[in-house]
Amino acid sequence: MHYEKLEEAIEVIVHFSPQRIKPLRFLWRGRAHRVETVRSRWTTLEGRRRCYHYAVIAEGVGSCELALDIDEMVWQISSVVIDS
Amino acid sequence: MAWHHDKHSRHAPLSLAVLENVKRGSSLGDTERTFLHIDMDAFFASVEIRDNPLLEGKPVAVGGSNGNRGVITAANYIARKYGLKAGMTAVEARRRCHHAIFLPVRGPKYTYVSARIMAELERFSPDVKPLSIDEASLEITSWLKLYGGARQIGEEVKRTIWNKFRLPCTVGIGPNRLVAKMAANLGKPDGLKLIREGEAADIFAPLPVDKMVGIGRATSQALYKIGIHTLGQLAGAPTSLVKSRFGILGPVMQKLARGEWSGRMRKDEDREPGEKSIGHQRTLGQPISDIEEMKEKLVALAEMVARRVRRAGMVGKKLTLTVRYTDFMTISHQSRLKCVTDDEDIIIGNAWRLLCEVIEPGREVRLLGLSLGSLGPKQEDDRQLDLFFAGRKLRNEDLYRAMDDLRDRFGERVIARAMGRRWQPNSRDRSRGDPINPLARGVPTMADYHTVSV
Repeated sequence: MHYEKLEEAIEVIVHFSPQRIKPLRFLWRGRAHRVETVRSRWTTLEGRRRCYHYAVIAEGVGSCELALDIDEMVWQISSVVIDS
Repeated sequence: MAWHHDKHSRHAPLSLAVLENVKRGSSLGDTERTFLHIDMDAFFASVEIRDNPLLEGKPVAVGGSNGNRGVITAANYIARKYGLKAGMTAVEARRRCHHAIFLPVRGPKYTYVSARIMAELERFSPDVKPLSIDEASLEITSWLKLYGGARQIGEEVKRTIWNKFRLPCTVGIGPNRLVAKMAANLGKPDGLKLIREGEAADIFAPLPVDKMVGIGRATSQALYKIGIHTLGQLAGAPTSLVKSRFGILGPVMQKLARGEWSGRMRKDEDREPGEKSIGHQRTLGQPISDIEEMKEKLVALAEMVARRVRRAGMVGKKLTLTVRYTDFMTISHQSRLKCVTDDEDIIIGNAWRLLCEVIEPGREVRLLGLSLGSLGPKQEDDRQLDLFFAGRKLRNEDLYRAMDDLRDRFGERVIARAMGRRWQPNSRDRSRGDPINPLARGVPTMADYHTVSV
């Protein structure tokens, strides 16, 4: 098993609630994937630039990490786990 | 009711009636002091396993994911069965368990989770002392009545951490912080152990001396030489014997072995100004023996130290360099600077001098550390000490301020001395045969290159 680092831009459908952002579905390489579970979330700060990270399990992808750059409002799929 | 996480008011929201109960309980004086120690089990590995269920049931190590470079920072309990543990080199870990899964260290993630856990612990006591990223100590004396006893608090802490974070932890409870920590060590993994007043000495007695907090490998070896192998033997040994061998530390160790500890944990604000130091150390991915390569690492360390010192509005006078060789022999070398400083040029120059004085040519180094001590608040007078170079000093200050601003806005890696970062040629440069070598020779000065990468 290893992590493949991707950092590819994706489009995401998100549920906003007070103090919480939950990714529901994302479009990656022309295919839509449903987020089954959000395992955890954390934030990082690079200078003043804040990123929200989500460890999720998604249909057709498995375990992967999504990241939202709050300044740019850009979503990325940062990495996927490849079970070998 | 909102619960604000500021340092002045860190109590969980409680009703007035409950607070009255607590007040009455503590004022009666019928409860002994009770401490709870929480230790997250294989913290980094547990966080990774929680986030990726494919890892469940497999040996997992965090660190050493870059081939055979670096060290393991955490290993789950399955990996520990193969002998993997924190601090082990990746090469050794792979030799012992080649099918283990080695994951990259994701520091910001663990720091974030740790901060959330510490905030959650404040529900159980206003007196939470984080001891490291995965350990904390709480005084729970005043809260015993509220929860119905120490064990109940321990169970509630474990339940809360599991329900909120899905992470296993071990809780130790004791009459002082030392016994609570030892109880946590004995209760691992995923356990809850309570040691009551007066029970500690009997529980500790059969344990080997190196199981005691604060007794390391060297002290254990010295104890073995005088025939002391267990904590019971240490507690019962003649004081004159241990005192003659270890000085005043001997009787202190005996007290620890009996579970007696009256010490208090020192907070940062209790420290004398002159005691403070700010430092960084770095275990190198691959041991190095090339002095120029060491200089690069040293410059990067000096930059980080200087930036933190400036950010704290301090200046320091005592510079300490730490070098650890591959055989774990560690040397610390100190120098008192001519005047207080937060100037990274001065820190780099002096660190380089210290390194040249201490380094054994050709010997491989696995860790370098640098710290600036005897810190005090920066005064306006500090900049006027150097009359002849005042102009240059002011220019440097402007430059540092600009660099600090850039780092604040775009992150630590946005700007650095070319000196402190090995140059990575791009494809065009490679095709020309790497004609540029930006690594300066000699003690670096502000004339060295600065590189910007956005």
